[in-house]
Amino acid sequence: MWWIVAGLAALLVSIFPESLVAAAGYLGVDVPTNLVFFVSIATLFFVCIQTGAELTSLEAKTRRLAEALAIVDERVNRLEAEHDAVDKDTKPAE
Amino acid sequence: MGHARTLVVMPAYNEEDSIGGVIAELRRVLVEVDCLVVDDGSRDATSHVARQAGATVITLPYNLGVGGAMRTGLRYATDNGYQNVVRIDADGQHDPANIQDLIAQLDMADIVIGARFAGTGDYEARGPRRWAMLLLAAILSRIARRRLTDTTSGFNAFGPRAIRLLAEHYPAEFLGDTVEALVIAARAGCVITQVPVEMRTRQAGVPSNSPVNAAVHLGRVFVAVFFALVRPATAYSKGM
Repeated sequence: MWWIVAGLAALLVSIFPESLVAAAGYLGVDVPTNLVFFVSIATLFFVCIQTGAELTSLEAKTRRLAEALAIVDERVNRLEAEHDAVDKDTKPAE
Repeated sequence: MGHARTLVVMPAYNEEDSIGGVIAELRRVLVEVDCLVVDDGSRDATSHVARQAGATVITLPYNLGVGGAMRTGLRYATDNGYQNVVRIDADGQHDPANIQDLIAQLDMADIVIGARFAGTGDYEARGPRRWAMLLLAAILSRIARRRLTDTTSGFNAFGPRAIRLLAEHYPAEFLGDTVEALVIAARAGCVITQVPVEMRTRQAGVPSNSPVNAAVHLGRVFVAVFFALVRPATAYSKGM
């Protein structure tokens, strides 16, 4: 999301360099390049926060998966063991 | 399988030396409970030893921490229709004979803590660790509106209501897990009480936290408790 915003802004500034100067003048930034630095750092900051939040939710999801997997694993083993035992009982002795 | 009303959950991480003895003792003392070992991604033979000793074993694919192991155990309990869950440590610190005392209290409470400083036994913590524990106990007592002296105990019994709640919300943070779980439960309206228990020395293995780590963890406990307190109570509504 933030990458798209940053990308569009960079594209706009590259095609119309005057827009950067105009924007800097409008916002009261004396050196237009400083506006680029400021916006870049701000964007990176937001990207960082977003990534962190994403990571937290992914961690929670893998954790749930691991728990569910372990429970299912135990269940499969148990049912397989029961199944094998039944097989042995019902098969006619040769 | 699954006919007992009580499930004993033992989170275990690299406890191959002690877990066999603990399970054997448990089965000797209490025949009418099922025993579930949640092997938290151990790198030793914990799973194998536990299975040999006759416990049901769930092996987590990687280390999730005590909180993750406990939540797995609680979810297993809800899936299989257990009424009560007792958490006990795999290192033999807790006396299985006390399990009955904890379960007996579940008629009147949702969570029963096996408290280490409540008169019985001679377990004692010192210095900053002791102050932190006293402070936590004071905070928890306020939230639970009941006098609780040992909030970091790993010896707890959970009733049906607490199981449903915590299978969903059992926190993951190490060492913070017990305290935070109590805060969550208390805020969701669970009744928490305690029973004095005696502590024994560990049968094997090293304590999972050195003094320095313990200090760091206690700091995290306070942060975790703080967040558990400021979160809106509706966050815990699922599962109740």
